[in-house]
Amino acid sequence: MQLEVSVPLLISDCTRGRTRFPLEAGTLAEALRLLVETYPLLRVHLYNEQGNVREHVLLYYNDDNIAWLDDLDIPIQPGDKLRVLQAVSGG
Amino acid sequence: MNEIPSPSDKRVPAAGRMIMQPITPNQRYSRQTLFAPIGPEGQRRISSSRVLIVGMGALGTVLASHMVRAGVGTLRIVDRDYVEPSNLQRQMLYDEEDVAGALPKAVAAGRKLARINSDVQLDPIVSDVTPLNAEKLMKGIDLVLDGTDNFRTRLLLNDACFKKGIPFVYGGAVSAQGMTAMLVPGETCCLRCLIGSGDGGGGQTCDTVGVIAPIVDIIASFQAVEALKHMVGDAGARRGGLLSLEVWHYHSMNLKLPEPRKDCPTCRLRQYPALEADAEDAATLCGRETVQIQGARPFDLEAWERRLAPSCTVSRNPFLLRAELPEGERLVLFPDGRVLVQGTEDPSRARTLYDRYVGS
Repeated sequence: MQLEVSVPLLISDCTRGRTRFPLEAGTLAEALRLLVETYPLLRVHLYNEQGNVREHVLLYYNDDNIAWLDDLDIPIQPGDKLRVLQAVSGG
Repeated sequence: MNEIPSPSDKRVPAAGRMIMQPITPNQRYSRQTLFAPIGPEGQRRISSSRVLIVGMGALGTVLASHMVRAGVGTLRIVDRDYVEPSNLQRQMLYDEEDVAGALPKAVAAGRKLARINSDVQLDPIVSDVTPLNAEKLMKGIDLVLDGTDNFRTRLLLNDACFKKGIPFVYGGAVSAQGMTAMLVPGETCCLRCLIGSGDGGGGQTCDTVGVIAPIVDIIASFQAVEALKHMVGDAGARRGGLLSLEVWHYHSMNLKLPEPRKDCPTCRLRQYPALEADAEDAATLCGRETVQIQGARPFDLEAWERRLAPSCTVSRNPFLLRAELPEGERLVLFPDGRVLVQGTEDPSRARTLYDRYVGS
């Protein structure tokens, strides 16, 4: 099943310049794995050395931050979205 | 072809002072009170509100303009910095004279805001916000608006707001993207639930990746809308959620705010860790080669001008003193004991120069 991924413009150099692109995956867990396998430069922006999501990074599956989900083995449905956000500190 | 009249053209009325009658509230706020969700009662509520804006940079100047034009009762503005040329592209209350005078932002903004609406009680404060003064700056305040440029100060405001039960409107902008959320103690999660300890924000600041002015205006305006709703008591109209915008390729999302994290030290455990942090830490400012050191004693700027003049090129105004060092860096001394070391991002280098010229 295909889901739409969006990433901030500031790290789109890691995704061949694209800020929005499709990804084929069966589950959310697989989508998260494939995202950094397909775009390996993205890994350092999203995860720390321990493999945890960086604190200023927010990964949203549709309306939910994945940090609040009990289980990532969620089957992808048509129209699902995976959004990569970075908390913005400038001002 | 249209001819543009020159100032000396006789068709242009001569400049002169007109005798102005005081502007009445009915005149000033007529368009705002015609807006039904505000109305005359909402205007009365706005006019009795007391708002704090921390940071008078790009977000802060837009926020302050909105608050003052809307007619808040009291507006306290706090900023530790002074106006520089790179600010003029987006920090809408400042002009070239403010740069030439090296005016502190709180002072320059306060002067402009007073000319926009003299009915507002303005309280400009030139200061850093630290664990020692954060709660004091919120005394008598109903609402705190985020105009800061770093997560450290935001988390400090977040913790102080949640401790005191004051709503906090987060906003941030960089590049062409921005975020905002209204965080209400007892009703929503706090900023710490969203970003943890901040983790440095990925090193993306206005000084490292740039920023375009419209995204700042847009984010600050979204913050101001939520502020107006809060002041008039229209909680039902609150947008809710975390708004994320990117305006170059245009993406927008308004995402659900989570429940407070079970282990959040601020909104669950009520420990407020940012208020416990060491106020004496040197702080690197917004990635622009500046380190701040908070000294223990206030500075008599006139005396320091005499002291530093033999070894540095010194300039001074009533609010700060600048010393161009022979090493290439610059020290900026403020009467409250703060020193900005400009030209380095290395805290130990900054401390060395501080010790060399100011003394520990």
